[in-house]
Amino acid sequence: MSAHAARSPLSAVFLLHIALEAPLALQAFWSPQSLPFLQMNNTTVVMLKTPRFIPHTLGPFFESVNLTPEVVWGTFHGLLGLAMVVWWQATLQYAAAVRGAAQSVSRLAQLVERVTSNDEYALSDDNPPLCQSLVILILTVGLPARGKTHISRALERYLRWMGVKTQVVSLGDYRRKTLGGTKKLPPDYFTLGEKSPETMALRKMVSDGCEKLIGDFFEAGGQVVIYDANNGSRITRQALAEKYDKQGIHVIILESVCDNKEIIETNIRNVKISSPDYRGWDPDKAVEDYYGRIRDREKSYETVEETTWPFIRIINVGEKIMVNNIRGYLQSRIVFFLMNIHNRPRMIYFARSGQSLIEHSYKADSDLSPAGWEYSERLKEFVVERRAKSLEQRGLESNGRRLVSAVARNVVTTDEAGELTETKVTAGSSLKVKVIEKTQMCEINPGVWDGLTPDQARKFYSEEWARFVKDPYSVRAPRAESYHDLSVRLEPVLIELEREKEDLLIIGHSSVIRCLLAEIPAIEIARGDLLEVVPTSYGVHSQAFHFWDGPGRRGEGIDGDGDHEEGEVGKSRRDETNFYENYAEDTKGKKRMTAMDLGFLSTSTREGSEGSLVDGT
Amino acid sequence: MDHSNEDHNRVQFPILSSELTAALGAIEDMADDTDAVPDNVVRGRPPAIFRAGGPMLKQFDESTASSRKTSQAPTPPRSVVGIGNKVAKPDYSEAKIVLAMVGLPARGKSYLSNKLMRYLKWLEYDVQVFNVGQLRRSRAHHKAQQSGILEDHTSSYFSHDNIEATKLREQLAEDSLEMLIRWLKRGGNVAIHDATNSTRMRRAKISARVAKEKGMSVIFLESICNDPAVIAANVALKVSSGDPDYKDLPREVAERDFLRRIKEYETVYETITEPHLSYLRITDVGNEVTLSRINGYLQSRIAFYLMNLHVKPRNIFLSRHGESQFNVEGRIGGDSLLSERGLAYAHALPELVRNNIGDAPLIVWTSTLQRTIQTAGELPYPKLTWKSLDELDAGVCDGMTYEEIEQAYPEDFANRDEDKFNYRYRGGESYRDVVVRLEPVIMELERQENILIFGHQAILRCLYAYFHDLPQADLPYINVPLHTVIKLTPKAYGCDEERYTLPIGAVDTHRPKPGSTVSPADVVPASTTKREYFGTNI
Repeated sequence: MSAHAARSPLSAVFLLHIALEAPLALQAFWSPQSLPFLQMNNTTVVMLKTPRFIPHTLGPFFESVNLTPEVVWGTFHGLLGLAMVVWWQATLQYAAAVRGAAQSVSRLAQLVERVTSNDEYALSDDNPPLCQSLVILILTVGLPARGKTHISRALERYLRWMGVKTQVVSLGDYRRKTLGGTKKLPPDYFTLGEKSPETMALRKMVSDGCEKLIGDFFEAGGQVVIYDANNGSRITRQALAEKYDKQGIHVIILESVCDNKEIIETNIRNVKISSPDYRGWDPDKAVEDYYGRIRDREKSYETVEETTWPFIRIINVGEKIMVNNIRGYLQSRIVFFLMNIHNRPRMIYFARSGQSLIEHSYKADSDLSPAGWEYSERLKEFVVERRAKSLEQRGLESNGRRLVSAVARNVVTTDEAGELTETKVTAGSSLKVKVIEKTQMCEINPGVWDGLTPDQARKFYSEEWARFVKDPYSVRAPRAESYHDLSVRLEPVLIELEREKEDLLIIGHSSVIRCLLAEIPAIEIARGDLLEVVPTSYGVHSQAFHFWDGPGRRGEGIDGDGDHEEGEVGKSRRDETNFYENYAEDTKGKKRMTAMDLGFLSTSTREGSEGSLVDGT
Repeated sequence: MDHSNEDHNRVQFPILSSELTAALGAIEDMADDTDAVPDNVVRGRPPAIFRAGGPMLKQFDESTASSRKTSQAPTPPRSVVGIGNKVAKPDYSEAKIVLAMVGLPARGKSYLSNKLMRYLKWLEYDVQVFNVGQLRRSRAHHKAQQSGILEDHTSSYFSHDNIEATKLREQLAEDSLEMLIRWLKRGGNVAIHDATNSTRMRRAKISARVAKEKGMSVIFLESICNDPAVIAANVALKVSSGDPDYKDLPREVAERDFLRRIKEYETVYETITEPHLSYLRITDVGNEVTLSRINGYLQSRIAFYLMNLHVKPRNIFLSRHGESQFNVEGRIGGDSLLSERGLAYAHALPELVRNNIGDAPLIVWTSTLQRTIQTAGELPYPKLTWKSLDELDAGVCDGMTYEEIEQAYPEDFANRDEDKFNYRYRGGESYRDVVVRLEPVIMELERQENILIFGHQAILRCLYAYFHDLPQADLPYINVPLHTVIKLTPKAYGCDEERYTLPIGAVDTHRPKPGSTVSPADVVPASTTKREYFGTNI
């Protein structure tokens, strides 16, 4: 306990005082006359040359009952010491709350420090509107198999991508990790009614463990925790919310309701049955068992009706959304994101733009080079081929599905857009491609360094270069964009990407694709690679295909393979003259926040990053 | 196979590599030859290489003309030459949405539809409000003028028991819907049906009618208000703002009649619960929002926008940065510091702002460029920098004067004057691009209260056009002078505006549209807060 309180320098003084006081106080009760300071006080007073204010005696009557000034003084000290101990113990909780608030202030300060350097949403201490309640706890509420996990994970992905430190704490996962699968649990773990003391203890242990995880994450500077649990009873919710509210954490309740039997059934079949709980079970029996588990919960489930806390209710994974009393910047972003999620199966492809005549200039905005033209043709063929194969594998009808292709604004890719329009004609009605040009998907702007080689940039802008190399994520070169600027710019694109229900092909520049993928470390999309991403409930499956080799694949093809060493700016084995390419490449993997490295579309289950090697022409 | 591939590329490649070598050579030459560095560039630093002013860009364009492959695509992509070109409007033809309002009178339906119209129009969607009240009034007006018969539009007209009037009102709503669908078919994007649509039957009729049209979808937008103060304010506004229904009536009578009209609606009002409809319910201006079956990009944008609205009274101040050194030299873009007069403006600002809002909280937004940060420097308010507020990127023309551009690329320059809104500088932006990038700013602006924005000419033109609902063609010519603070006060149906010009001289950077004698900026209505009672579409 003292370890807790000792954090403030003032509390150390307080404790020291108690420590010194305690023996004196004890002695004062035991034999007040023998306290050492009794001699001292008069001496001190004499030394200070002030008149003596403690009388020698209180009078004959008090002398007769043995009540001397020494005793009064001693007793007074004893009581004071006692009072201090009582005070210390009584204010422990209050102190914890204050500390919680102080931590959120320091977290705010950290954030301010991070963002004021360059951010679009640069926050400053005295600017509450954009950052009120920076520390948020989202409590999910809902019966099992209602898509809580799907929603939580998607939200986590998005917030992390935005640069918000976010963590899903899943009660189910924690239970499985600590206690094991269903079979190892006592039979009354999931049933309704009276539970045996052992079960109660187990349940308590699990929820305590989760709460500890939450606390730890907040302590470590986390901003948003999504507590993925059932929280079906009003009392539990209230208690949890109150507990965290007291610590200065903003609580939002996120309820997921599902009255569509089909969604529940699919969810159970696809997700729950494959969970470790049911390893080795017969699928139908497992479904039956799971339904049993839900049925019991249904009886005790209380839907969110209280409006004490801001809440969001999602019905049938996005079909209907109710929002109550949601205020603040981050909160409204969260709601907007939740409005856009869906769980319809689809595929997303990523490909680089073709080589242009002058690769290293943003401003020149040049045409494709001959190699670039060839690339665009090959890309068209390959995408058509690959998508047909993929649809077949997944047993989906290609009829009625459209491929939407978003391209960056630069002419490099508009040319490809032209090619894709051609695809539309040649492939006839079997492939409908709609091409959308997005201004926001422009390459990162290199500012004054436009058209320079890294050497030149270093020579002419040595100071800026040094700062930039240190932290390419947040430092922007003069007139340029930092990676953070880019990710802010791309945010609307990302929301649209999440919203799009059709298959999507994104043709973009290296920095844009990297930003959208938020650096899947193992996958480097070079020219001539096509990345196929299939979002699923617990993450995404991604697969890379190689379809083209030619100039410009990796900067003029100078030794294309091998990992690029971080930190050796300008010494890459890529095209030395191509600053523009290098600008994007060099900033790779240098984000400040490591927690973010698992970015937006990062893979929890990644398959075959090598992919199949498809020969180019 | 691989070999042939490489050979094939080698054959094509010399053009490219020789170009690159030439380009690099030129860069090195320029960097070494410090005499060639223009005065506005810091010595020892290279000029922007592909600047429209230098010889590089033209050389490059000419040399690559031969290597440009003619595409087999049905629509050959444009080739990039010169300093920019016009960009076509994005294709919104697929978006066809009927937005039907639901709600009792005086619940802010017209306010919401008006606001939404402004926002979507600004984003270049074709939007029109079809107000049934307007139609009713204008028809009655027409009738009164032609035949002299004055229709009775007091509360009894709105009673559900008045069978004849009910039929008439039904007819009006249907006519209005037909007009709306005709308009959508002619190429509109979003049509707002501003009526009470208070019964299930009414809504079922609308959704059945719209379902008959291919590609159209309907969203209902219900506005509920439980706060008596807000309702009272709305009623007062309605009665006192010159509604022709209550012309020549004493205030109290009018108010009583209007309240009775609300009562008549209340008796038949059914809130939306139909599960199959896509709807959006807003309670107490965004306090509680319910979204049901909102699909599609535009729909979710609309929902998000409405969620961010609030009606607290507030002011929005817009100001350009103080006069910058580039302003004095007549150069565009750049990241220069303030001139002396600009600094004087920055110095005079705190007093002006304090006199205006007193102790009310205020947040200052600036761009990331030096000149706005410097201008805001002396203000004692929390500040926020937005990359999105940076000036329109002039790409290859950044840092040049208009004369220089005209000299180097006379045709391109004329091109820009022809259609300034759609003209995108090469390697830079058009006004449309700026609007797209400012969208998140508008969203945040709607959520905030008192705000002071230090922006740049093009940026403030875009923001100003949003608040005053100005057409795109006029947008690039709005006059936003230096050293002037524009105070906007959002009102129910528009914005009130005041301008405070500080007596500190500055250059005039406004270029009126060539060939026009009257600057469209002068035609801006002094106040756009008046509500339209008869509409213009009839």
